Amino acid sequence: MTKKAIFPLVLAILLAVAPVQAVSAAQPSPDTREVLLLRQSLFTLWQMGFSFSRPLDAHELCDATLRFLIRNQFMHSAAFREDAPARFANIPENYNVFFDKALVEQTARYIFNGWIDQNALCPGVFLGASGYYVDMERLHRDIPINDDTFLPGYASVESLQQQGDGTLIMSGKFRRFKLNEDSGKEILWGAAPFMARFVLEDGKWRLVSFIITEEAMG
Amino acid sequence: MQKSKRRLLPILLLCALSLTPILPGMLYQEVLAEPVEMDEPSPPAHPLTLEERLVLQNAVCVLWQDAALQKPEALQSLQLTALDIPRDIFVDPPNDFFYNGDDTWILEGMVRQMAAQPDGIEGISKMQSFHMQAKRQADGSFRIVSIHFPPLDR
Repeated sequence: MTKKAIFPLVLAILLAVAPVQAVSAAQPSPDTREVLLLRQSLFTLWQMGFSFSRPLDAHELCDATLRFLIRNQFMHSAAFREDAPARFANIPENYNVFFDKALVEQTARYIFNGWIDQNALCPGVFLGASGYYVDMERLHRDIPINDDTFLPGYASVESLQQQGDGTLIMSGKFRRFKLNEDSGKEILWGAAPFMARFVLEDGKWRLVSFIITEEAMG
Repeated sequence: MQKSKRRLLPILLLCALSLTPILPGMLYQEVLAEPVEMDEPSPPAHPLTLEERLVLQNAVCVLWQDAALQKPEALQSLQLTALDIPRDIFVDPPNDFFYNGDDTWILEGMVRQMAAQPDGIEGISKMQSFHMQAKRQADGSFRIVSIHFPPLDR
């Protein structure tokens, strides 16, 4: 009799606890490595002067993805014609940098929330068998790189909150500094507070929104 | 004649003895003066990923903040991926990594700290150059071999 009474009680407790466990197991909070990567991605977007004010068309998505990779992963993910001539065999001379296909397509998906349309690539980008070839000069002809973006700078994360649905909200401030010749000190040259929202998809955080929350300085 | 030879012998011996410490030094200098050809280390089997670079840069920021962690015994047990992220400290330039062979990289640059000045204006309050050597372990994690912060520049 007592056993019969306890059984529904235990079952009710298990049912109540189960969804909580499922949510926490499916939505782990980001570790140090992930926070560093997410912070770096946002800082790169700021350096690019990028905002998600409207959906990107196919050309814009291709252009933004390659520009992002050039700024964020140039030193460790790109292959260069002079270092890897075999990879560039039969590729026109003006294409001098290569990025792996999966990396480009993952970046488009996880940073810019889109899918690269292989039939609508931007000028200066060519799709080969295993990846994308970039004509650096052509890619930067229309939107040259602003010299200020090479100044020392960083993103400070002031708040990192995980919502009940697993969404991650990161907020903070970007800053860059410039040497003041008169004082010999590095002074604040640009700043912008930001907020970004990420969702976990296939074990990776995907950026779904990114805004500069106040008028930027500099 | 025999007598003068006998007198000369101790003098020659003394001269020889006094020269012996100089001779190896001269030889040593000659060896040093010869051009030394340094072998370029062959490229790493697995280049550093962006994630690894960011983790190593963050370690520089943490170690700059806490001198106790710079001691060799503390470096041995440092779990780089479990470190906090200091809020207003950053490394620049971000890409000065050099492969040194044997799964070891050298990272050099400047570490900076941002702070508001007494007048409320934000700026770099402190900066220092650094030289760090880190080795990738068999399990893929990194161990800091050494880190140096030369005397404060500014």
